Amino acid sequence: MKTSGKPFAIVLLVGGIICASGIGFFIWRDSRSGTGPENLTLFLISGLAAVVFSAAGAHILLGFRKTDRKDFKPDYRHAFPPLGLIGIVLLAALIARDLSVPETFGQYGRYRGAAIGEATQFEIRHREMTVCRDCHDEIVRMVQKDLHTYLECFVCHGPAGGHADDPESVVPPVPRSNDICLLCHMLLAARPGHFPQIELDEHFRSAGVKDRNIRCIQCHSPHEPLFMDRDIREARMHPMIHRCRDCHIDMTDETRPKPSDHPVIFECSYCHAGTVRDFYGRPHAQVKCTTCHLFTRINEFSGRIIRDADPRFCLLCHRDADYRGPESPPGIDWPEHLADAGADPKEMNLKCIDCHSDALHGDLSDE
Amino acid sequence: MSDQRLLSRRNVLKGLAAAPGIILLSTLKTGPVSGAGPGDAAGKIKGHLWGYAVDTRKCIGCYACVRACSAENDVPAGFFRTWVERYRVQADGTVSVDIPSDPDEGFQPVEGDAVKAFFVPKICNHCAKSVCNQVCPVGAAYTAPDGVVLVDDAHCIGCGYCVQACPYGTRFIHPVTHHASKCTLCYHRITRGLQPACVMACPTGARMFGDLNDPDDRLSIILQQRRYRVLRPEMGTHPRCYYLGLDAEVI
Amino acid sequence: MNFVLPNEVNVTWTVMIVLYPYITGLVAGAFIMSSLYHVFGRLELKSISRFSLVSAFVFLLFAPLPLLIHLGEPLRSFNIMITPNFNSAMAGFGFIYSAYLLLVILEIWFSLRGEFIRCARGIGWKAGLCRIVVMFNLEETDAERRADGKITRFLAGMGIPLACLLHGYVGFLFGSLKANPWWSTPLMFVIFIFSAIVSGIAVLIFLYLIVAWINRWEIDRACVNSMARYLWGFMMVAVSLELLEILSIAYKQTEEWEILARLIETKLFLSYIVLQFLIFSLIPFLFLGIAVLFRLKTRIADGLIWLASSMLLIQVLLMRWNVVIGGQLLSKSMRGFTSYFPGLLEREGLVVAVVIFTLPFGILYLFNRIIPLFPSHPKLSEGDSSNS
Repeated sequence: MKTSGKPFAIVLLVGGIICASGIGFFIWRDSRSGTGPENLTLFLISGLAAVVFSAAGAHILLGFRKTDRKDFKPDYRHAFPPLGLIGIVLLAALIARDLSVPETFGQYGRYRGAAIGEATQFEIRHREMTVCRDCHDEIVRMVQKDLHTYLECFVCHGPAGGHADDPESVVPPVPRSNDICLLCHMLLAARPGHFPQIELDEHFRSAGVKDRNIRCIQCHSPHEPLFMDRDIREARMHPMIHRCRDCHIDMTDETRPKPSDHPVIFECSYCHAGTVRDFYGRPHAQVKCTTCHLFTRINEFSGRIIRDADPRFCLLCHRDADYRGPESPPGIDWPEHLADAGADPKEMNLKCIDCHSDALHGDLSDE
Repeated sequence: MSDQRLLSRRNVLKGLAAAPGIILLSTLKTGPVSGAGPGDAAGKIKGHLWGYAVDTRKCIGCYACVRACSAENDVPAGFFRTWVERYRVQADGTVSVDIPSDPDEGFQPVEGDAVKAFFVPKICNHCAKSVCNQVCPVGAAYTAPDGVVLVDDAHCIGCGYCVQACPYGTRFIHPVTHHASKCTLCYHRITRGLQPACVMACPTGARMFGDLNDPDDRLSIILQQRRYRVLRPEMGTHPRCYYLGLDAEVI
Repeated sequence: MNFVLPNEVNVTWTVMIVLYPYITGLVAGAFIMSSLYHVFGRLELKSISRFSLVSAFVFLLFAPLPLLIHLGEPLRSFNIMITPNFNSAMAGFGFIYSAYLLLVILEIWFSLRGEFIRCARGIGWKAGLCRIVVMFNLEETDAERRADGKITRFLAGMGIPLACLLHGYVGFLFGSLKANPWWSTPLMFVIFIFSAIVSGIAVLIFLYLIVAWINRWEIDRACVNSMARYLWGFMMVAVSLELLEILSIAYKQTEEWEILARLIETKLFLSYIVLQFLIFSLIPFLFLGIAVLFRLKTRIADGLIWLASSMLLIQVLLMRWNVVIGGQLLSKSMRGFTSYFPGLLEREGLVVAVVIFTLPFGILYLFNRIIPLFPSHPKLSEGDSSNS
């Protein structure tokens, strides 16, 4: 049978050219539409097909030249049906593939754009403290004044996201065991040193607790951990040296503010309103209370002035020196100042406040 | 408009680089890293660029974050979208690391005298050049325009390649859905103006979340002013999860 | 000391992913053997050229099966071709696999067309099947036969790079994962290709000798000797590369070696050092060396070659295991190891793995019932050439 495969080779070569122009088409379309990635498969396959077609065509053409000389002509026509079948299958696969690319694929990048929206569709379970405040205003205001203000309610009470919408059926747990406190406050070597943490036995021993079944919350209110429920004589900060009952002597005394109305941080004026008001009228008004009064754990009443009232402390600001400008507080030269004031040289241990108490403030005992 | 053109042309280049058998090339195409540091230009076009920071010195290892994350996101038992590691360095230099066996019980005291011990919270690093995105064969792992690395649950085939590729071990195959699953930075929360559950749960503020594109955001200010490190920078993933006060032992 | 990141307690890639590169390796190796005859004119391999091509085909048919069983969403598997992410090494799979399958089918069609036509001219279900295969064209001319020969050679030539690509990409898939120091080496790509060729040749020798012994054929000495020599050569290269890889990491003493050394000394000691290298590499190396270098009685030589082939089949399987599973035993915390051994009856368990691996042999047997795989051997009885 004398047949020529040349037409087939030419068909292949033409196919190669068509595919190659297909690449150009995709580049052109992609650069216009901005949704390039969608067509990558077509792009890739047309590239592959271009290479294969051209290579096959060239191969057959070259093969012909060789066999022409030997006068052995291969007949390629029987190869058309399977190749055609494969072509049809490939075409169908390509069409199916392009039809099944998700609609929003490539919208923002090589992924399904709609997935972003779907990722936001999830139930919010942990609500912030402000949501709790709508109903539990008093407790929330109490919490917000104390160190547990950094704790969201859900840390102890669980997520209970539905509680706000349906308070009756969704009831968050009220944990009372020590375990939940110890999750944070158990002594662990890896915990930062400044974080309050206890070893339970040691804690009971130092606090003189006999009943080991006692629960943390019997002394420490979880909503106001620094204001202890019990009278604890030892306290760390100045305001806490007062027991609750020092202010709330009479539980029915309505004039006293409730704990939830306490300020976030006790300013000096909260208890010493008269003194502070008086002080603001005096020359030292711009000086902070804590500049002179330093509270220590040893003696909560002790302050720099009260403890030693050392003139050197006042002289830190009031010493006369060359570097001081006209804006500086009045300066003196100690001990000349003593002599000028006509003080008895024998009383050289005279203190500033002995004469200048009016420059400071009135006696605290008036409160 | 010009931005779009630019992007699309880049995609075409990607396509060219991805020609048969030249997968290699596509990994060479990178150019300047987009989103390498806080407040990069690529994210600015799209508004937010979410970032995350951890101050390891503040972490008390209470595990509230892990419990909150599990409850918020239905994380299956035995898997974690975030966790906290405890490092204990002994005098002779040996390091032992552990995590609680039961998240509900938290860390327990352990024997042995550590000279240095600390907690390190771990979470998806939401890398600017995330490996999981690179290796996902179907484009189900992606980075949203706001910088959050997410999984397309409706498209993932569950091959697990991303799980292998993540240098931080933050991905896993969900035992029920059989899809890849990971931290979304609580995408359903942050897109509604809330903080991620773990950040809200943290009692000491060791976990921080914010918008790197907003120069007035607390996170941006912290990253401008304080020294930080990222995990495994040698991986070239350019994480957007920054660690303050991180020890050299932490991998 | 042993700290494993919490999500790594269960390994993600199971024994199925061990099986997958193993099967594609057999494909690539068997195909390359058939191409040695078709393209490179190793005429002594004629006896097994058809067998090797069909083996490549049946193994190729089953290569995706372990993947599909492993996939979390097998029904979405076509996403890999619908929305491929070409930055992913894995995205190449769909296209490379499809192209390669197409090529192998075409090569079988063109190289065995005469056989199919001969069968189609008969009667019965086999003839009916063959008639469909040849698309009802029962004529064959010399010119067509010439064309078939040319096309076969062309396809066989094209198939070599594709076979390397199909299997090399698996190596690349592991070797390009920077997160895993046990995988992340550029050598992985090359090692996979060479071990694939080793396993392909080994499975051909293994089957050919068994079939020949069962049927009491006279064994084609030139063919077996040639294959044994190829096997010896390729296994030397493969094992040397495997050793070089570990030696270079060990010698560099980088940070990752600290944990890799522990991995090899503890978790992988048996399967990697003892089994993969000391037993299943060293012994086949000696056996093949003896069989190739010395004049032995043919029975002994064949026995040695067969034993070596079987052991090398196991060696390559061990190598796949040690790569795929070994890499996952190593935690990304770089501070500990997890454990894995497949269960017997679970979805990705041992029984399923064994079934998947034996299925290709069954298909091979069926194929042999239609088209004899070893045409040049004397047949014991009409119509049933072997009981392989």
